[in-house]
Amino acid sequence: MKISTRVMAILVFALLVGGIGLSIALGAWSTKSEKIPATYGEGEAAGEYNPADIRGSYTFGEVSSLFEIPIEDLRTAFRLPGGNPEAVALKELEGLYGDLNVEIGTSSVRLFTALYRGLPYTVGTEDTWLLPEAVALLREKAQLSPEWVVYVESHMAGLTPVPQVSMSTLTPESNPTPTMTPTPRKGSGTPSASGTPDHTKESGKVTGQTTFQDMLDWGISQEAIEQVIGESLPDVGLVIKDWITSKGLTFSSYKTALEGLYTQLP
Amino acid sequence: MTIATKLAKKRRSKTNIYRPYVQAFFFVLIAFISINHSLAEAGKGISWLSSASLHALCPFGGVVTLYQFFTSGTLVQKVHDSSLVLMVIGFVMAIIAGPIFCGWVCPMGTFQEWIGKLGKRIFGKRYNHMVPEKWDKRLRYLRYLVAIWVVYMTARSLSLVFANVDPYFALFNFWSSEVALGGLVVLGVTMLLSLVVERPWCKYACPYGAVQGLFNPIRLAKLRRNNETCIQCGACDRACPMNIQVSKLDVISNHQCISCMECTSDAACPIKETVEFRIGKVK
Repeated sequence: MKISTRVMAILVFALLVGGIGLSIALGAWSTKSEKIPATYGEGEAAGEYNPADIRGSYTFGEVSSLFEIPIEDLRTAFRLPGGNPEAVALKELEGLYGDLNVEIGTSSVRLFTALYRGLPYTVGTEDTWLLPEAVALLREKAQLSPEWVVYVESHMAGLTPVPQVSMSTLTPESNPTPTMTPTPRKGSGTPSASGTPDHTKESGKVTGQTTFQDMLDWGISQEAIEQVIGESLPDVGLVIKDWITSKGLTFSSYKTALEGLYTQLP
Repeated sequence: MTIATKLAKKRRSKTNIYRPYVQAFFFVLIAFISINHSLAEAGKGISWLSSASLHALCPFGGVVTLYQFFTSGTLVQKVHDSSLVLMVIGFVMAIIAGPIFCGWVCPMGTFQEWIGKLGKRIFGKRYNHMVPEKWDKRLRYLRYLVAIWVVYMTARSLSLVFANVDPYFALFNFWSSEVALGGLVVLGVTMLLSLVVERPWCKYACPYGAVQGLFNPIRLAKLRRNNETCIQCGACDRACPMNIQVSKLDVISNHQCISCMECTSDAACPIKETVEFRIGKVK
């Protein structure tokens, strides 16, 4: 039997249209994700959802539900707006933090989720970054191994000014009630508009985002800070980590000493 | 001038008249769906048109997710059930008549052919014959390495690694922030090469084409040349976008054949019933 070009053209349409039609009839055609992550196949976490399979199309509400992480923690860790953080899709993060010189995106959520839940995780070939709030939450609530502590401390997105996130930067679908005001920058010493406690101020932790002004706001004297850094206080708006590294010094050694000043406060 | 040459010249303008329309249809369809996907994400989608992501409409997504599908019952990120369905349809097509998907449907192949038309005008007879045969032969197997690499890396990383270098995704999403720089670079290189080589991506790098090509030796409908009626004019050789020497073969089962039918008696071959797709032998 010969197959002419005309027959072939008909065959192409028949197979594609027929095949897709049949799959629709059988309920097998879906162009959307089921949003059920893969599970670990072996090890202590066997059977648990694998954060590595979290996708950009997931919303924070779905991550919260699937991995049993309070939405409030996710909101804090990723500075989500207070209106409806559950509806924010992970893939919107890159747009929200596009001004940073590092990427805060789906991979950041995967890493945060894995560490928060204490699940096995392997960072890919590219570095994964977290916001200082996420690192603070992990330090507070998760049991991190020393290796992970080093990793997250050295992968805090704080080397450039953090963009102010407002509801208006989200897509209309995830922004049903655009009533939020911009969230003040971390470490400004005032509570955020959403009422988020300022962990840096409360805990006195010096992170890659903390400025000299933050320390002064905590009540630490200028002289005490100058004693630790060994010279006169520079511009108080400078991020401490940036200033220290610009001097060719190691941030971690000063961080402990500076945090010690906070604990010595009456 | 021999009779053969006269016949060949007489029929030279004859091409597969249906294929360009089928190709254009699928190119436009995918383009509209891809644009609608972006519009839908901004809340402005057209309701009666699919807004599926391009990953959902790529049969190769079904191939790369097979490992994860069988080991954990889930799909690789960004791959959807529809990719598996299209993969099955693609395989059914290939079992019947080889890589019809490549030759008739794939918008990436169509795009390269369109650029190739410009290349033909610029380079004339040299077009599609500029790569030294020694290198060309070896490079044709590169796509199998690409296919193995993509399947392995996808299984290992649980993510769609190929999306970072996929020119097909870049072509229909170049306006989107989802496109990786690697994809745009590969697309640009493919476009440039398409000016001198017909379907360079398909020949040398397409992992899905590699998988489809494996069906050529076993496809039910065989592309056959009738040696008794063939006048050895070489029209079939010149028409083949994949540079297969059809005039030297009785049954064309070359892994690079894309079942485009440009070499057949319905198109380039000037003699009736000489090069044909047939289930069963030539009369």
